[in-house]
Amino acid sequence: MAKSVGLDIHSCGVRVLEVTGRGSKFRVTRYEERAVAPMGGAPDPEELREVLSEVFKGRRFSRNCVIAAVDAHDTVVREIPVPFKSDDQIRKVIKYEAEHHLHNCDAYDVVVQYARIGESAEGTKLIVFAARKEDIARKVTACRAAGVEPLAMDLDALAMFNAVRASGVIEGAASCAMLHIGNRSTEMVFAAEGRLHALRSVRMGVDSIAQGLARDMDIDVAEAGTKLTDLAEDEEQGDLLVPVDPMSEKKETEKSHAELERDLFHVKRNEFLARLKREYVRFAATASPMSTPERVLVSGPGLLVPGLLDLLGAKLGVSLEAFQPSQVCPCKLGDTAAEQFDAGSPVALGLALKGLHNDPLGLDFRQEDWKVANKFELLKVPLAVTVTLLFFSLLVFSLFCVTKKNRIQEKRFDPMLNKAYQAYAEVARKFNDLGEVLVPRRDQVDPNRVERSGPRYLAIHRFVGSLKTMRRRLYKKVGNDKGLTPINSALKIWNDIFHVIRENHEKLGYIDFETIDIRQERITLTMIVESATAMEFLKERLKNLDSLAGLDLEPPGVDPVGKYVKTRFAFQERHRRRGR
Amino acid sequence: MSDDPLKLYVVVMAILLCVLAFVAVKSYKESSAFERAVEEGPRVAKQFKTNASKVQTLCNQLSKSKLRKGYLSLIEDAAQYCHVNFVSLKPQNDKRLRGGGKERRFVFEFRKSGRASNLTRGQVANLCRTVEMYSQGVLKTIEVQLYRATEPGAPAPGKEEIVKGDVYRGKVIFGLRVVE
Repeated sequence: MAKSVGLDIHSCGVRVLEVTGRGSKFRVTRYEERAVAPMGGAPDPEELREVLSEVFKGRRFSRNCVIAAVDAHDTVVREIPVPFKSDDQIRKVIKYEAEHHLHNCDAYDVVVQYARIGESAEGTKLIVFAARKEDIARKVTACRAAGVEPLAMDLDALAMFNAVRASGVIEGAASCAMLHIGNRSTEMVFAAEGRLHALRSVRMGVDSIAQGLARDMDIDVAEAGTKLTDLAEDEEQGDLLVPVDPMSEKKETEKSHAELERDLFHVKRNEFLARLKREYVRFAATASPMSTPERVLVSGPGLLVPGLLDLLGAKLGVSLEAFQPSQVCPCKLGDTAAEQFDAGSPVALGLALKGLHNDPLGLDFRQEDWKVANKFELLKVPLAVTVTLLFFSLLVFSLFCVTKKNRIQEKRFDPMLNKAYQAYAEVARKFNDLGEVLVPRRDQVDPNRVERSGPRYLAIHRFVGSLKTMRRRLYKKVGNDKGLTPINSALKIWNDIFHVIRENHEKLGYIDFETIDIRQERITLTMIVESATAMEFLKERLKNLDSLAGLDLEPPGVDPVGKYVKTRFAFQERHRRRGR
Repeated sequence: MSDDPLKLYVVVMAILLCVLAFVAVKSYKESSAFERAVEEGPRVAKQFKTNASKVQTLCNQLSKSKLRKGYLSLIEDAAQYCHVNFVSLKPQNDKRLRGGGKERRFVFEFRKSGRASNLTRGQVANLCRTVEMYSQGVLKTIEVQLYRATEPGAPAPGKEEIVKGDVYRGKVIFGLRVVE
C-alpha cells in the first residue's frame, strides 16, 4: 500500500503524520508532535533538524513521499478576476496579473499559485496565493538537513480544508466555514458545495492569551504558557461553563492569588474571542454576504483551550462543531491522546492525503527555483511496483520458454539429431577415406566439430551444408561441376561408328581407314570403300547415329583409287560451320 | 551506497530486469528455433538424404578409381595393363573453356620408334576403355587421332574391314574439365 507523510512545520514545533492507503481509502498509521523553541518567529533551525531526524528515524516515518506545509499567514492571498477560462492561458499570465496585487513584494520573490472559485461570461475568478520563496527555501533546507526531501508543498489552510473534505464531514452541506485556530494564526476557509470559495489568514492564535498573561503578570511567555496549562486543567476539572462576567461575583480585594490569575485568564480569553469574532464576522460577510454558512467547523490547537469552542459559539451566535479526525478517520494513535491528535493533526493529515493524490486543488508551491529536481523521487514507488511486476512476469515467461525448449529438445529434437548424426558420420567417414590425394587434409570433415559449432538447433542444417560442400568438392574432382559442358567421350563415338560398320558389313564390303580423327567439335574419317553406292549407304547410316546428332556432315568427296573409291567424311559442329 | 532502500531496490531490480529480459528473449528465441527446427525436420531430412546419397555415390566411385597416384600414373598403368608402348605421355597446356573453367589434357602419343611400335585400332580402343574404367569415368577420351602407318594392300572383295596387321600411329588425348 502507498504511504504518504504530511509534515507541518509551524512556529512552535513540528507535526508529522503518516497515512497508508489509496485515494479515499486511507488509514492514519503514525502521528508525532514535537515542540521546537522559536527563534525570531520561526523554529530554531538546528533544533528543528535534530527533532526531524529523531522523529523520522525514531518513529520510522517513510521518507519517500513527504508533503510539507507553507504557512498561510506568511502568504499573500487575493481574489482576482482574469479574462480567460483555460488553464493554459491563466498559467501564462497569472504571475503578472498577481503582480498588481502584491504591494509589499516583488513577483520574482514569490511562488504564485491559484485556485478557481467562480466563472462568468467575462472570465474566471481566482484566489491567488503568493508564497515567499525565502519561506519555502527555509523549510526545504531544514528538511534536507534532516535527510527529508519534500516532494510537494501546500498551504496549511488548504491542507486543513483538504482533510475536512476527505473525511467526508461536510458532504452534503451547501456551505461550510472552517476555522483553524493555531498557535500564532487563525485560518478561515469558506467552502460552497464542497469547493473552496474564500480563504483568509489572520495573525492571531491561542498563543496571544499566554502572551497577554505574561505581559500583565510580568512573567516570561514560557512561564505564562505553563500557567495557562495549569489554569486550563483546573478549569477542566471544575465547571466548564464560565460566567459571563466572572469579576462581578466577588470583590477584587477578597480574591485569592489563584482566583486573580483565573480572572486574568478569562479576561485574556475573552479579548481573544472578541477579536476572533470580529475577524470572523468580517470574513463571513465578505465570503458569503447573502447567507450564513450552514455549518461551522473548528479545528486546531485552539480546541485545547477549555471552553473556547462554547464561548466562541455563544459569541458568534452559531452552533460550532469541532473537527475531530480521530472520530472520522481510521487511526492508529498509539500513546497519543485523542484530544491532542484532533487539535494538531488536521493540517498534517491534509498534507499526507495530498501525497495519496487525494487533493482536488492540486497546488504545489515547490516551483521555479525550488522545483523538485529529482523526478526519480516522484516516480520511484510506481517504478518499484512496475519493475517488480515486470520482473516476475519475465521470470514466469522465461521459465515457460526454458521448459518448452527443454521439452521439445529432449522429446523430439535430440532423437532426430542423433539419427542424422549417425548417418552424417558414416558419409564423412567415406569422404575422409578417399585419402590425401583426393581429399586434402584441410578438406577433411570432423562430424563432432560440425555438430557442436554454433547453436544446437541448427546442427541438422549444418550437416546439410557440410554435405553440400563435400558434394561440391567431389564434383570438382570428377569434372562434373555444374556450368561445365560435359566431355563427349571420343571412345563412345568411335564405338558407335564401328558398330554401324560391323552391322552393315555384308552390304558395305571392303573398307580400309586411312585416318581417324575424332575431336569434340569435328570428326574426320578418311577411308577407301568398294564403290560410290557403298559410300552413299554408309553416309546415310552415319547421319542417323545419335552420337553424331549435333554435327553436320560435309558433302563427302570421291576420289577413285583403282577399282575402289577413296572418300572423306567430315562432321562439323553446326555453329562452327556457319562461321560464328 | 544510497541511504534510501527503495531507490536501491529499484536500481537492483532494474539491473536484474535487464538480465532477465536478456535471458527471456534468448529463451524465447531458442524455444522458437527448436520448434521451427522440429517442424522443418522432414524437409531438411529430405535435403540431407539427397546430398548424403550423392556424396556416397561419388565416394564409392572415387574409391574404386585408381586416381590416387595421379592422372599420368593412371594412364601409364592402363597402357602397361594393355601391353601398349608409347613414345610420350605428358600433360598438355590447360585449355580454357568459353563458359568458364578449364580442360586438363594429357597426351598419349604412339608410333614406331625404338622399342615403341605402331598400334592397331583395337589396341587404341582397349587403352581408351581401360583408362576410362580405371578412373571410373573421371578421365575421358577427348580426342583420338590415328594415321595409317603402312600402305594399303590390294584387298580381295569381301575382305573384312579390319585387316590384320593394319597399324596406326597418332595420339590419344585424355582429360577432364574442372572449375578454376
